[in-house]
Amino acid sequence: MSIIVKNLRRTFGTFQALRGIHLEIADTQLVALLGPSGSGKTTLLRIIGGLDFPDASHGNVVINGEDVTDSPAAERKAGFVFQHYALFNHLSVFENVAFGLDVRPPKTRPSKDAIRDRVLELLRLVQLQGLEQRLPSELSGGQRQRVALARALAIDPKVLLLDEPFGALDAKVRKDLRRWLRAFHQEIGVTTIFVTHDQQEALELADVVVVMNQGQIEQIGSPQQLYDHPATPFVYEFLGDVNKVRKPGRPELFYVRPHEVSILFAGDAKAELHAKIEHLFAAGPSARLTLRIQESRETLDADITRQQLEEMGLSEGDEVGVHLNLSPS
Amino acid sequence: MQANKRRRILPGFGLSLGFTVAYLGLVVLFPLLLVFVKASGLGWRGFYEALATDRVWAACRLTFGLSLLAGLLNGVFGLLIAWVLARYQFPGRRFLDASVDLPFAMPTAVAGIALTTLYAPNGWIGSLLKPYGIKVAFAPAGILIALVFIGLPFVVRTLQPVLEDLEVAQEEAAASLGASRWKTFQRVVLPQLVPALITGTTLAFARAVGEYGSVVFIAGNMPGKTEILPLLIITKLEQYDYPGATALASMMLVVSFGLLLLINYLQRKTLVRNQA
Repeated sequence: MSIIVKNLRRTFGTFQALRGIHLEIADTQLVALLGPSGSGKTTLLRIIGGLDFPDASHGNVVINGEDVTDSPAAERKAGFVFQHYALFNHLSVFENVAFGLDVRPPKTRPSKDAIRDRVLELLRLVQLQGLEQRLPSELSGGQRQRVALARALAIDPKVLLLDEPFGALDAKVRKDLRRWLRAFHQEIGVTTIFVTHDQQEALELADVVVVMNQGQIEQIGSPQQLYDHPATPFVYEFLGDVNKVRKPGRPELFYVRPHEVSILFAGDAKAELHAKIEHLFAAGPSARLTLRIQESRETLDADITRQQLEEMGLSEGDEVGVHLNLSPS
Repeated sequence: MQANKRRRILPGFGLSLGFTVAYLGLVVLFPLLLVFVKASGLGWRGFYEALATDRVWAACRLTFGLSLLAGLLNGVFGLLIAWVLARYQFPGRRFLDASVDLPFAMPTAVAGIALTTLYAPNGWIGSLLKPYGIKVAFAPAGILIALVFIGLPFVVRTLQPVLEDLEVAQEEAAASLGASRWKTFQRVVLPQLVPALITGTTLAFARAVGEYGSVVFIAGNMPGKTEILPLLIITKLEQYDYPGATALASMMLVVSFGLLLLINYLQRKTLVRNQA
């Protein structure tokens, strides 16, 4: 279902957490809210989920055409997955997942058998069959995460909201779950928003990435749009590695990604700058050079292929020529 | 040999256990054992005769009945007070928080005198209740008030840290899953408080059973009506009836210990459910 956020403001005391947010999310999209800590991304997610509210008469939240700005969380049918899962410690996995159905008033509550079927189906979906009698404390981090997801899905949510879904997991599990969530989203097709401060995660997983900074949206776009055409210096720096360099005789700063730096022999006529290799790191598909520019004494990172490294016979301490392949922006 | 020995981070299990047993034995168990030794001089028959009187039976019902009621009342209202102190920020919170401990710190006789002054038929509150025929001081209701007074801090102080540690996100999760406020309290918050609630209520109950100082002032101490067991023991002591007093004391000890064991068992059951 679609989500529209209009002109949203939220102030905590004197701190402006959100300063005028406009956001439209189409049905079934997988959206990442990306930003450093304190950028307001979690606050925005909580407001969409009804766990927090905008400043009085400063903003609206519209889910599927219905203005829900003032309705409490219990009425929104937004599945919320918390950063630390917030599982009910005293209830089993089964009871956790069944919770949203169990607490319905008798009139709309499904029968015991129907609840049982639904819970077991969800546990199969998140690959936790056989663990329904365990308590949350008997599960690993990744399993708890999936219980939280199953619990949120039990209420047939209109939207799924995930707060730092992989934040508390180790690197390997993160990667697996990331891939799994991508496939999972395709299967269930529920509009999903997740918050993250990890640009790699956002770019890999999302259809649309919303980059936030200091309570404002810097840019909205597909991962590729953002990477290739960053709208602001902030987005440039936040998404991927970037060098800030000056050319001799020019006052402005240039933003250039390491793979956009060409390394030439020192005497090459095309060289715009001259640099010395301070550090060379070649454990990977490409080689990373850390250069000291002779003209300005600034440092510059460059990625070149292993092949070029061998052909040019470069090593630490060598002097090289540099050309910047600036993308037109 | 050395390699087989289980290694612990903190050494000294043997020493600390030895100390614990010796200390508890010396400070708690040995004096109590003497009570039984003294009482045993009566023999089973004398023991039975010392206890099987209407006066003892009435005092027994009064003491354990009112203590239980006071414990339960403290459980309910102590939870409420702990909730407010742990959850909300408001001016005067620190003052209220500190005042919870007053029943701990005051000599109980002071509490007894203060309560009696308030609730006596000519006191501030007593005089208001008198026209309606409600008698608090020198009646069981007065004893109950004194017992509630001295037991309150136990419930508040055991619940407060647990309430402060509760994850707010769990309540938010319940709300986002469609649970009403009442359902959230009943299904998410309360079950996690039960172990601490049982502990606090038990402590308040145990304290009430043994309470003497504050009760004797407000109770009126009429044999068979408002006479509590601890007072009965003192009375027997004043009449140099040492065997009778120790017989009563041993009976109180056995009943109290039995009740504490039972409550501990109940609590263990809820804890296993919560933390396993």
